[in-house]
Amino acid sequence: MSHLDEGTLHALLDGELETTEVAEIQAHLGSCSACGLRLREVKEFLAEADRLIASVDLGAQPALATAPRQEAIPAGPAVSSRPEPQARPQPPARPQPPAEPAKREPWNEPPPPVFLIPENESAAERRMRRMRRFGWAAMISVVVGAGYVEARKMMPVTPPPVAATPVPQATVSPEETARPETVAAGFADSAPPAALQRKAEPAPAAKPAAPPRSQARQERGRSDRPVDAATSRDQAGTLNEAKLDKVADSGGEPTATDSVATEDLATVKLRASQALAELDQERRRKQAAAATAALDSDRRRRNAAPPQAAVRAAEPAPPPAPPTLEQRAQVYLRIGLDEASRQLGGPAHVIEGMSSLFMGLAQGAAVIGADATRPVVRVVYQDSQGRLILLDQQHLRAGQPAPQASPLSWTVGETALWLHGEASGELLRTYRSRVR
Amino acid sequence: MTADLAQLFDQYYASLVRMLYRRTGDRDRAEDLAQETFARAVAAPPNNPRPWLFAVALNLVREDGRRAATRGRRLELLRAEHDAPANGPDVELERREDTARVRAALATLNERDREALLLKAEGFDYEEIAATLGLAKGAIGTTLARARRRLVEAYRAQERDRNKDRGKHVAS
Repeated sequence: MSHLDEGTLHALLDGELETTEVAEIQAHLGSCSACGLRLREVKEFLAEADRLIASVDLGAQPALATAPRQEAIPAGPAVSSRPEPQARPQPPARPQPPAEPAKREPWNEPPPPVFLIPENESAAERRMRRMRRFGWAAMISVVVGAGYVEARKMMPVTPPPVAATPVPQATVSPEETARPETVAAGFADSAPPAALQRKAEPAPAAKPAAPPRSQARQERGRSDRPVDAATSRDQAGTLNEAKLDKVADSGGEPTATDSVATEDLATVKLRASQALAELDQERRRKQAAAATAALDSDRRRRNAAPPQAAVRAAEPAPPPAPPTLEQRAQVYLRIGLDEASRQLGGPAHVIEGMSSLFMGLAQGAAVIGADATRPVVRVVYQDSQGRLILLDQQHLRAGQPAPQASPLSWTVGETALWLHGEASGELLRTYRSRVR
Repeated sequence: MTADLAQLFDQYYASLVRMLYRRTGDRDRAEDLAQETFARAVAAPPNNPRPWLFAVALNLVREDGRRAATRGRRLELLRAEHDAPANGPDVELERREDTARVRAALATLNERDREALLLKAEGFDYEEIAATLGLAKGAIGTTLARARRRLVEAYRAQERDRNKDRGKHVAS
């Protein structure tokens, strides 16, 4: 009987063969170690494939749990009823949800609620969506900005409470009341301290060489301070300008009402400077607190890092994994019988009566007498003591000298053979007589 | 007739949904296709129900896949994403990654091999697989052998790539 093909071995393991075929195959497997090797490989693939497919399951997810009907699949009658030469690993049992009454018509039941979202949106759609978002954002920004500017324009002309400031009213002349700046100066005393958080500049009235109003306005325009500060600065500037106007209107000579106003102005300046100093202190306190918090967190982070590193370094290194059979046998690639036959130009030699673990390719340079430029086919066996026995084979090319003959190195036809491994030389010599 | 169909539903619905889920990766789509399959069975009751149902379901999957490819967009159903994990987040993440690798490995198979494999996983014997897929029974062993080998090799290749990536990540 010729070697068994892979499809037949799968059919055998799937329980698809007739009893007579199974008997023939079993008889063949008893005498052909190569087919035994292949059967073992097929079993591995079959079990692994079953495991992989079983891992893609609905599992305990609600779909099957809430499915209107549940199956009662016969567990593969062909598989179970026919004789199997070897026990075959079955995929893990799937969860069986509780059965429901049989009278319900599943296709009439309302489908479960689902939410659909588009996937693979095209680039053009994405771009349009992004542009729409930008458009909305820009529109909102313009509206909010315009509203803010309008509010700023309206703020200075809002009349403050008059009842708290009886004195300025008495000092304002009728012609001054016609000028908004003068009116604003009269209200300055009643402004809340926050509105006076101005830099306590020297009063322009006390300085003969005070800059003209237009220059003062330009300087205000160049200011890059925050909004609150700018607002208070505007108000204070209005105050100073009003005083200037008053001095100019009176021909530079202070009157009796001017002296009262000067006292008020001094009080206002004093309050303004106090308020400003308080605000400065508060701001610095906040900045210092924020900087301290940042430093603390940074320090904590740095302090926390070294112990982790130390713990990591102190952990013992995991014990090295024991070498695999391939590593022990120095096989860098497992191959099957077909590839071995292709490498050797004929069927591979085996040790009669022993079942090989696997077959693979090893470096030719590692075998004395072999062509170092080509791999050798290595059939790996294991004896009862767990020692590996390696049967190396290499096809001799034209012109390639045969390896020096020795008890464990010989030539059969055009194939050079070497027998070595972890067993003693004496034991290996006994195996040589069984190499076929 | 209704009783027969109810019995068919009892026997094969879950198996059909499971096979379709493995094939499509989308549970709700699998359920829809299974219901569509049974709706067709109502219209034309089959003589040999199991191969018939699975063959119709696989045809529906192919048609559905072609329609989705033509539209150029696919609807993703969110319900599956909202299932609460039964295990811890790490275990669940690992399970999902593993499932994704198996799916990717399944995707490397050709259609006939993949379907034969999925039918076998549902307990079909070679004769039923042959009847469902329109193949000769004698070819099923070879088909399954090829499918299993390719699936395992593709999965192992992904495992190797993943281990390589992890090694690089640890080294960096």
